Amino acid sequence: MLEYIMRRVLLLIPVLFGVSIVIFLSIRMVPGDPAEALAGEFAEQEYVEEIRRIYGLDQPLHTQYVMYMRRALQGDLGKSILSDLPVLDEVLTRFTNTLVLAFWASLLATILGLVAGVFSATNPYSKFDYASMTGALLGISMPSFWLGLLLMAFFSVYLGWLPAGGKGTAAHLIMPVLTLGLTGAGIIARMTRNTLLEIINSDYVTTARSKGLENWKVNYVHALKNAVLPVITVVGLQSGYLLGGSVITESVFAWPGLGRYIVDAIKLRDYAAVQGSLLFFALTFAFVNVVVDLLYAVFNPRVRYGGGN
Amino acid sequence: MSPAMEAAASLPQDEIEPIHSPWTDMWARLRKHRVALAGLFFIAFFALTAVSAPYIAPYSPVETDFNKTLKPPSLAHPFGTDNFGRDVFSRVLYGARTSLLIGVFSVLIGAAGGIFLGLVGGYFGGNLDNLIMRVVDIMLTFPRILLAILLIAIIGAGMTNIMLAVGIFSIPTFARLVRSSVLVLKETEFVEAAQAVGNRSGRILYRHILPGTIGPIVVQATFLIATSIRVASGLSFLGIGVPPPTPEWGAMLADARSYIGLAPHLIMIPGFTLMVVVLAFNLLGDGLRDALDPKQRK
Repeated sequence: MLEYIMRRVLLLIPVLFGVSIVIFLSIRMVPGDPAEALAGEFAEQEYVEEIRRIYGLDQPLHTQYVMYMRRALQGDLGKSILSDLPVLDEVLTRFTNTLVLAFWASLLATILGLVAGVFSATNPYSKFDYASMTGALLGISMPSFWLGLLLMAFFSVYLGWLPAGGKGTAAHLIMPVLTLGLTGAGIIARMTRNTLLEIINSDYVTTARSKGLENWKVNYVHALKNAVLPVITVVGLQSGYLLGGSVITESVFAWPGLGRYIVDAIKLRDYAAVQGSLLFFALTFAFVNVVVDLLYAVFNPRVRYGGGN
Repeated sequence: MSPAMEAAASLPQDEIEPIHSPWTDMWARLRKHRVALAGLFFIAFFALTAVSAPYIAPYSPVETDFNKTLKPPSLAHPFGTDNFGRDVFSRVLYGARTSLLIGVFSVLIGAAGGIFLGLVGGYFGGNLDNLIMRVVDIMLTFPRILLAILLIAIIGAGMTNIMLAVGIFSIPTFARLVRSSVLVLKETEFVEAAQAVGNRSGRILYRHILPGTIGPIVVQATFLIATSIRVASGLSFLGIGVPPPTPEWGAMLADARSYIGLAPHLIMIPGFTLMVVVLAFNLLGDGLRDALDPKQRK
């Protein structure tokens, strides 16, 4: 097991290395000269040159990359052009906000999705099954910004119960969490139902049933145990996607999270901020993937003992 | 008459299928899938709308009229007017054009790239395969919308660029899907036979392996069109998608947000049509998946 964890974590290094190169090169490919942007619109040519020297922008690309990574590994992601504050500080604050949102949304998505999926699978083609699967389909088809606007129109404008945007009280969390969580719940519910139903219809479950085991024991002990694996994968990936998918929800509800920060930074061409937050996002996302893989190994002895790949 | 022939003769006529290709099989099963047919119907409806928008739209989708801003639905303007006095009905019609074009073309871009990488990587294996799969891993390290945003920052907004930005991130999905089918197919006897008689790799891939991967590709492509339409309109909603005044449902919703209390109809209609289109592709995808699933064959 320990060896498996080690291998999985070591595999992360080349991927993250690649990711950092991709981000670095992408940012360099964005049109416009960062030195001129830093110096301001009416700066003298000498001043621009000086900035270019200070920030190492006159060096060849690979040198710039090494310089950037050396600083990044020491926790220095550069300064935001706009706020003149260290990018890392801002990213951390924003990320905490996104994490709060993603946590509650994941919780909602997981509980709702699992309950709906398991009940649908154990009572297939029942009224509940049709209702919950229709709901799940709507959940995955409804654009999150539309759902957000509808909630806002109803709860903030019409009823006046909830604040339309911003951050502060628990009431501010309700609509963003619903918006983000319901989509995830739809995906998890569909996946859980399909997986579990397939298992319930398999031979060994029929065997368990025909040797006289009680129905609930067959469904919840024998079948559910084997549905855990694919479901964990989906739940884990969903939680990861919620971190990034929050971009739109954060914009709808003016939630000061990392997703919205990146969009603003791209619009304002704040390269240090874009680069830093993307790197941070990639790191978290890769980390979530590893956790999912490890959970997978915990529940699947074939992977754990190296039989699988 | 032998017993077998008697049995065949007693079968109802419509159960005897003379032509038996995977496609006719699939269509036969899809035809029984009522929900998938509903999806197909809505897709056809919106495609027709998109094509005939210039003929059925009562007004120009971009013409402004500041004497008639934020009007509720009426006979003259069935869906009302927006904050520039533009006819919402006409804009919704033209919006179908924008969304369907982006959805279909971005997935074609992704499929072309992904199928190629998956075929080559899966068939030749080795270092090339390793390299391709690592690149795919890196692409999957980001949520799709974030990289689309980054890509747009580099190449700029606009229709074609949105198709590219959204489409490129279907590549990993297709590449993985195709690769896993290729790994199975290349061990089969008919591929070995094709190799043994001295076919070139390109011909084997194109004639013998690619057809076997088509089923899952079609299913995935249908779902991805739904996702791509949603992501693309999300980008427009964020103000970095299709530039104004092009009619686009996501952009219309972004404009409507400021008038949420004054003119709620501006939020209802574009969002609803967007949802129906995405839903239609998801329904069709479900149906195709069931129709192609060998386990459901009776």
